[in-house]
Amino acid sequence: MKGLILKELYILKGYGKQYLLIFAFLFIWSISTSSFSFIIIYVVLVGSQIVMSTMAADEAVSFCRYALTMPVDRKMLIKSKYALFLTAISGGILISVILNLLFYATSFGSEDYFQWESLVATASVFVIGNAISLPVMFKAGVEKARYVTIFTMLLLAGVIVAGIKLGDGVGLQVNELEKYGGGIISLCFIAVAALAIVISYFVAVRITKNKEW
Amino acid sequence: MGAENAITVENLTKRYDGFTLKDVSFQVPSGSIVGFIGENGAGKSTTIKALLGLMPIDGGQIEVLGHKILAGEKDVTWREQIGVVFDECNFPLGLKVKDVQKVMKNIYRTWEEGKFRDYMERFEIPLNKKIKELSKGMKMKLSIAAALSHDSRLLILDEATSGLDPVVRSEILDIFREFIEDEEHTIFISSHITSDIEKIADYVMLIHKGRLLFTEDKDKLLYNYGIVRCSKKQAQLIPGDIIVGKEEREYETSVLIRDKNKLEESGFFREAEQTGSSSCVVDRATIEDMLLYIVKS
Repeated sequence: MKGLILKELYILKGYGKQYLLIFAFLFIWSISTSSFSFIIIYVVLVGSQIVMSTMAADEAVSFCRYALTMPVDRKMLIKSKYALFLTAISGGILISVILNLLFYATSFGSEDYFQWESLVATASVFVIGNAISLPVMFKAGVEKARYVTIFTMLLLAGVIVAGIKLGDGVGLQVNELEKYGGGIISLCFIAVAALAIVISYFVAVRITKNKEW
Repeated sequence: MGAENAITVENLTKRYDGFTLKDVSFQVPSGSIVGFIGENGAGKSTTIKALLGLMPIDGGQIEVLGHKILAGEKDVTWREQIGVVFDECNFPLGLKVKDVQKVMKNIYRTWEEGKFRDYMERFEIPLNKKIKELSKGMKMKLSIAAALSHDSRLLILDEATSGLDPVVRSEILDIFREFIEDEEHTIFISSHITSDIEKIADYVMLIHKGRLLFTEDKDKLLYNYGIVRCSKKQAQLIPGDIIVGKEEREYETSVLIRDKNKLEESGFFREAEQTGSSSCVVDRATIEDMLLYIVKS
């Protein structure tokens, strides 16, 4: 698996400049507008989408088919992509946390402090979205998987908005949930995301069982 | 299924909508080069995918280097001993040549760093170049070097020389010849370029519409097969059991036959002379001729 992960890192090295340029632009933009929510979400989003980018590079040259002619089995191939996904999104979250702390500690963002619960919820939504789209990526390719990701994100956003509206309807405000403990809500998000990614891995292994590479 | 064969296939069947690879059986003897020819869509790549366990099959048995092939199997250590080259370079284009070396070193236990470097020097491929910056010929040479830089006993090549100019193809064929100098090494090569097969193969397999038409010793094939150029009337005198394919034009009929000796023994030339038509000739048939006549027929 080390070889496969190395290959992913070399692909990412090629995208490094692009990511850095966009990040630099957003960083400056965030400072000038004193609004940091977007860059924090963006970093997590990039982390969650990295696996799709490397898979697109693989697809362009049928690397997966080639890899399966080497001493690499199907599960190892899938596992390497999930390992990359978890590493990348963890990296994204870590950078977001650092940015959040940085903005909070300086005068730049004291007025726009990003709530930790929001960060956990955002990352969880991205993980759940990818948990659904990763098996699709293995089965039907990156292009379809990207549509599934967008659709899933929209659906999840719709569910959250509908939940808030319903809560309003029965007189339960979102802010009131905090009194039940923001930590517990965050833990619920993390648990659901973790469960989703584990199920996703097994689904990916199963649906590629009879795939023609 | 014997160990003297690098590949043994028995009754391989794979069904798709509109195409079936049906009951394909053949052996690739260890130490030989077997050329696999057929038109586009004849079933060459499907057969190769089946050999490599890249798809589930609907019937039959496959053994490669004594290992029974099952799609999606967990035991993959045997693949240390095969080198595969497809019709394109399969390394992500953003990687540098030296990155390929590092990746492969961590995939193959038997990876030989020195051997890979030697190939890169020989092919004049700079280690610092990105794959996307290499020419098609260089990319194919890189793929071949990767296939040869570990403990490969069997090379499986799917259209590996397609789209390359004659100079590069000739260089690549030389590498294959060097590889086969070790009697334990075997090459199974599919190609549209029948002249390449004619140059290096010991045996030729022809597949057409999902059915394997023949597996023959190349030298015997070239010795026995011929094209009879004669009139339509004379062509009718050729024994039916040796006719492989026929092409009729206004002034000439060309008939591909599978046994020139048998044609002579049949008394064809004597009878043909008596028809009063101009004399007929028997030309050498190339593998390309065989492919064309069979497909057209």
